[in-house]
Amino acid sequence: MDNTTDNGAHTVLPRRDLLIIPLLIVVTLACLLGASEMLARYFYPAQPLDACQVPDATMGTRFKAGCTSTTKAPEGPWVTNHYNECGFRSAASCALKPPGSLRVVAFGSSLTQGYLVPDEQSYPERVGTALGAICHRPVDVQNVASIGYNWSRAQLNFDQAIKLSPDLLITSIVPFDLERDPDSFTPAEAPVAAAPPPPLLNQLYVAIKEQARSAYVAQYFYFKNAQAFTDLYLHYGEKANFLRTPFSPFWQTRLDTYEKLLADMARQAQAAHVPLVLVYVPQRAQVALISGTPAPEGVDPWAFSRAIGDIARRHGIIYVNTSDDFSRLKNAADLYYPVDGHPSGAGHAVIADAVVSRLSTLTDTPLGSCTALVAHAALSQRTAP
Amino acid sequence: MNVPSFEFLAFAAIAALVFNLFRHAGWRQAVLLVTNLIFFASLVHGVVACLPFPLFLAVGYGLMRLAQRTAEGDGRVLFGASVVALILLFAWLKKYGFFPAQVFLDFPYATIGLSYVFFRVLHLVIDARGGGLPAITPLAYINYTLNFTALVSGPIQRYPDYKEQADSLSRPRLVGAGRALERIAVGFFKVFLLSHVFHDLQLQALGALPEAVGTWALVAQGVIVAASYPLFLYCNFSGYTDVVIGVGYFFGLRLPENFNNPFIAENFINFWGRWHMSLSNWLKTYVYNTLLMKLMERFPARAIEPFLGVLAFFVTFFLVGIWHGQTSEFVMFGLLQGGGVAVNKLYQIQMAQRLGKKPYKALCANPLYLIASRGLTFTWFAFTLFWFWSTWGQIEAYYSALGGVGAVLVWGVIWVGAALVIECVRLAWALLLRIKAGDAPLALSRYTRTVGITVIATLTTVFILLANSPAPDIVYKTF
Repeated sequence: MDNTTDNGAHTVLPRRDLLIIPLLIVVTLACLLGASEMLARYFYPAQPLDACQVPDATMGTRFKAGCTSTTKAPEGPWVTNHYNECGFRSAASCALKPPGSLRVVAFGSSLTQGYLVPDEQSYPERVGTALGAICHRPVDVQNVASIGYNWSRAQLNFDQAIKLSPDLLITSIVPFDLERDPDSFTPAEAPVAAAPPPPLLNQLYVAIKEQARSAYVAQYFYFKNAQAFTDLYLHYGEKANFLRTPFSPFWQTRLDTYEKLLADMARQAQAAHVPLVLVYVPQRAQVALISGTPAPEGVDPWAFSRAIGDIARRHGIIYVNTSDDFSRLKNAADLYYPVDGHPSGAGHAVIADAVVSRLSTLTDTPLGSCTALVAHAALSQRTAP
Repeated sequence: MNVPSFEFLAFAAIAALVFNLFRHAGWRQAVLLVTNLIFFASLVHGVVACLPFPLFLAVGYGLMRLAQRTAEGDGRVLFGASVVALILLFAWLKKYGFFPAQVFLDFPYATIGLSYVFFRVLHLVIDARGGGLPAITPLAYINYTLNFTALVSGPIQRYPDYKEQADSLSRPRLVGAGRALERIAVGFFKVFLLSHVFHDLQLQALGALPEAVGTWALVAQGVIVAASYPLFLYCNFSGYTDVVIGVGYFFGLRLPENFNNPFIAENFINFWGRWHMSLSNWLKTYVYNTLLMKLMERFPARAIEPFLGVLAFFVTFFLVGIWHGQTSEFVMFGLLQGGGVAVNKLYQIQMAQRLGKKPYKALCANPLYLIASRGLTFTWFAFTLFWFWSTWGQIEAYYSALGGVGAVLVWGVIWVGAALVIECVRLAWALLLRIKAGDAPLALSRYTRTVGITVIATLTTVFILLANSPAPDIVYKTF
């Protein structure tokens, strides 16, 4: 077998090897890809879709009432999601709150919904538990937030929240939530015209990106390094420009639209005498930049949270900027799932601590102390029909 | 430009393409000169920083020409002075501690690869005196001494071999090119993946050692610290050598091997015949042989001849040790290398005298004795390397953390563990070679190697992309 005789100085490659060797390389690469995909699927199982989430004519999607599901990001733990009889992620019933209890209603996007973290670790649940301990009263948390966010759903979600007679309304915002086109600020999802199929190479790229677990795991290992992740993120085009000042027209338009949305919510909350808390949660790249990774010239990781804070103040909304809290932590970027981008259970703990800490310092507002909250609860019960 | 790196590979590929355009000696010399100078310039920052290098080369060339002219005359003193001058010039540029600090140049300059250039130049001067050196033009001299494939960390090639290969004007063949690419892929795998892993292992164990609780936890961390470094160094340096040998092929060069399975050496003398071979061979030729001959001339008694060999061994390998650096740690490293080889030689003499040559030979062939000897050789090398990679302070901290019993256990575990692991690897390899495809082992077939290299290259590429941290630098780059 002459494929073993390479040692002679004048060895000539048999002509058949000109075909066999490249073929072997291709087959080996294919086998490696297959093996890595199998290993990735075995060691990093995933269940990104929430089986309780169903299409809804008004909201786009909603959660089935009384449903339980499990979800998992490849990089995170298995998570069980319980939805009460109203389809809200809450252990408590959505019926009228029990006398003497406080009701906290959280609304917003997947971050508030606690996507990929266990029920008890999501920040609304943690806030509820902490307030219960401070006030020595039962606190009923109704989490009406949904996965996925758009402008119309935000408004509808708020409407759902305020109908639950809350003592406290909490919502959060992440720059990612505002990426959607503000023109989609219509009561229902506008039907999307069928677009021509993208080129085959693009389809292949999308298929690998979306479906290949090995590609996900590879990204996971790459993104674990906050510096490398941030360097890459800053090349993310317009999506990363919320980190640069002055804001581009893309981001300025979104801030303006968000201000209108918040102004409307604030008006309604004030009319109902319910304190509205807006929690700003930075994205992972932002967290890396504020907690140690050097920011390149022109990048201001604090600018967006300042802009949101200004909006909140203009409309009398209680603003909690968790950027400050994340910035004080070492390796704060590790509190996020590197590829998925949502905060982990530990990240939710930081957010919840920031909210509770902010609520407990507001002595000059009706929400200044637990007694104020309790008083509000008593008042709302007396005036309830 | 780092060797190895993708940047270096791209540079070498372009240079090789241009080099192989014509099989004309003048063309090839010119392309090689430009390539060598560009590569050298990539290592040096600023014109002033590179000035001492041409000075050293010019002095070396002058001394070589002088030695050639006096080759047939009685110029022993002049020759001796030339050699001493070259050594002193090298030591001065490398800032050895026996010079007063005031005499050193007070601006930063490049010495990268100077040690290896020094060995080449000294070999030229010595061989020129012996008359065994072919004529060498300044262009050939520069191309030989600054040869970009071996500038940074060798291997040290003798000029006659270099000239023969350069003059052959050979062109890369498909099979040879495939072999060369295999070497490059294996080299990258060793440097970027294996050495990276061993380096990280050692760093983690060093960090964990002070916090380890309990004797066995301490011993485990101590073993990882001590045993991972020789493996790291081997992968780091032999990986570099694989890459430059592979690249050298495309320039018609067959650079000498630097490693030959060093960890299967059954004693420390044999180890140095397998580790950094081009350096140890150089020193054996120009130091050991010369010194032994002089000693035998000076002390002609036959009874002490073996002990003169012991002394010559000690001096040679002491020099190997202190060549690595200018601090007291490297003096200790040299003493342990020289001491190890000398004690090994003494032991061989004593055992042969006590048992008789044949029984001692039989003992050395005993499988259990061989297994234990291999383990001990690895253990001794790992022990001596402490003075190579750490400082006195770190060594003290290491042994303070371990305590007396811990230290004894660490070295005991390394000895037994190394003996077993080396034997298992040897057995596994032997078994693998027994699986035949036709007349030759399947594992060595071109097809099996193609699959193996594809796997290695893929793993290395993925690791480089995902590791997010640069591979450890080539250790010998600084020498």
